[in-house]
Amino acid sequence: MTGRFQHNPLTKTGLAAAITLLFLLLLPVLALVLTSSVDAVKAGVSNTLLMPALTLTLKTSLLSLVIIVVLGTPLAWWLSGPAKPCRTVVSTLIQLPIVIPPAVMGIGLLQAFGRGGLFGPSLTEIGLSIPFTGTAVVIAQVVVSAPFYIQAATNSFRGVDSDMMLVARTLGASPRRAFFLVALPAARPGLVIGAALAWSRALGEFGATLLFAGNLAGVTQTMPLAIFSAFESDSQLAVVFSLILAALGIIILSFLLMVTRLRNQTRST
Amino acid sequence: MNVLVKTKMLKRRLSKLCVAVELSVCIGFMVGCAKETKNADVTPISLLIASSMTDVFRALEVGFLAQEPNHKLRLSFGGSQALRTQIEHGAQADIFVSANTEHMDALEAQKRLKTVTQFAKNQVVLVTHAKHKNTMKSHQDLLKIERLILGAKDVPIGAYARVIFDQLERIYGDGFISALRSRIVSHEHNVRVVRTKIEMDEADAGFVYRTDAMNRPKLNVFALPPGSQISTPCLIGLLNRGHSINESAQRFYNYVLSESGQAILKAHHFLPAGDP
Repeated sequence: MTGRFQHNPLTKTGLAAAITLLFLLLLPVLALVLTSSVDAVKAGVSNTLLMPALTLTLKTSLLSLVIIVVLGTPLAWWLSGPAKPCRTVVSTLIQLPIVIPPAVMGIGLLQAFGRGGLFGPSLTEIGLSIPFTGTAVVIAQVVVSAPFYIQAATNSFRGVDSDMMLVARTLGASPRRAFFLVALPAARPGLVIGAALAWSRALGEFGATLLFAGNLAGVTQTMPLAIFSAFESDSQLAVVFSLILAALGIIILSFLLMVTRLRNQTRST
Repeated sequence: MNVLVKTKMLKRRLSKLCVAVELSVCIGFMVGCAKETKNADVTPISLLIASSMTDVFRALEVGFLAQEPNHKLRLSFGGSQALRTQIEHGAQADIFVSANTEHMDALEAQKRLKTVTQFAKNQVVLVTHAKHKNTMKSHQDLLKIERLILGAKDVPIGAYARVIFDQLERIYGDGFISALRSRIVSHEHNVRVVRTKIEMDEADAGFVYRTDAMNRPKLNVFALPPGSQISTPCLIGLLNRGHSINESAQRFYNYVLSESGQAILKAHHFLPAGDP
């Protein structure tokens, strides 16, 4: 990073390509703002679909985030260890949900936890039924967004100075104490970024939720599903709902920028 | 200094290479597209068809092409409400086939239709998974089910289900209907998703069209009481596409209404439009 000796000038074609892409990336968000009106926002905010969907989205995505961090941190810590065949296999497998489309994961989840799925009969026996419930929403969100956290956390743990861990151990700290007092604080910025990425992914989960959890206001209808439903009756309402979800995303992005800046500051000092 | 110059040169060469690759990809793509249009000297007829009529329109396509091989059809399926939204947002289609009048009327009010006609009739039925076949005798048995799925309120089958609920309420009282409502677990976006989820045994019961339940071994049709049965229109509309008139679309439209078209509809258990 520091070895850069020039400011990467662009050729005219390169500049044109970059501007085209930038335009494409920013235009949808801009269009949402431009095509909406104050009256439409007022009508959207007072729509009965909004509050149940928004609270459900926040509740389920935050719960998913807690599950991802609690279960994902130990896994990421283990994955950040010295390269071994089993580690490579596991870390590759974990990335499957990133490359497999959410809709496919939704069908897979139905085939696994649905009443007619692999574990269906045994789940029914103990009186558990997952599809069409909030639990299904959370499972779908965890499955599609956990890889983003695990990947970021693994990279972050890899950056932890192993000498520091060694010193902590020689000073008599147990592995657990060394992890919590040395590794975790050192890796924290990376973990926070990973968590924010996973959370934003969970907020926007659509395909797997629609297939695995269904669509019922107040129970399984998260914001993306509410947007989809609204679009089929009143596209202006869908625009307002989209704006609200986009605003949430922008808040997460600003938070990420803050964390990255803080990290760079602590690094440079 | 030398290194810097070399890197610059390399970069320039690389960027030239990139442009060359991009260009060749673009040209290849355009050539590919041109080829496609060259092969098909007829403009394809683009049809947006309500999910419940998926299979019958695939059959109608085959029948039509057997009679008039010089045509090309592009079929796309979805909930009528979704297709209507697509048309309202500028989807280039020649024909819209809707499972209710509401969505067709809306397009007519927007002057997007050249002509519209009812070409068949269907009925709404309540189906359960076949495993409930022997336990579903009376309406009280319906309360034994755990998961009932409906279409969303803008989906024709969802709107019809709400009408049937009102009629059942009149017949059995609001206690029964609110108990039944409490079993609703999802509002799906088209009738075929409702059917699939019941066939997968993820849901116990739901409303579908009579034709959707035909020859489906995993489904069991629950007999609704007289007075709560509704028949539904199947509508076909020719869409306005600016100045150009799609002759082929008109021919397909006529074919659906013709004797051969009606025979195919009958074979798929649709009722004639003229039926009371």
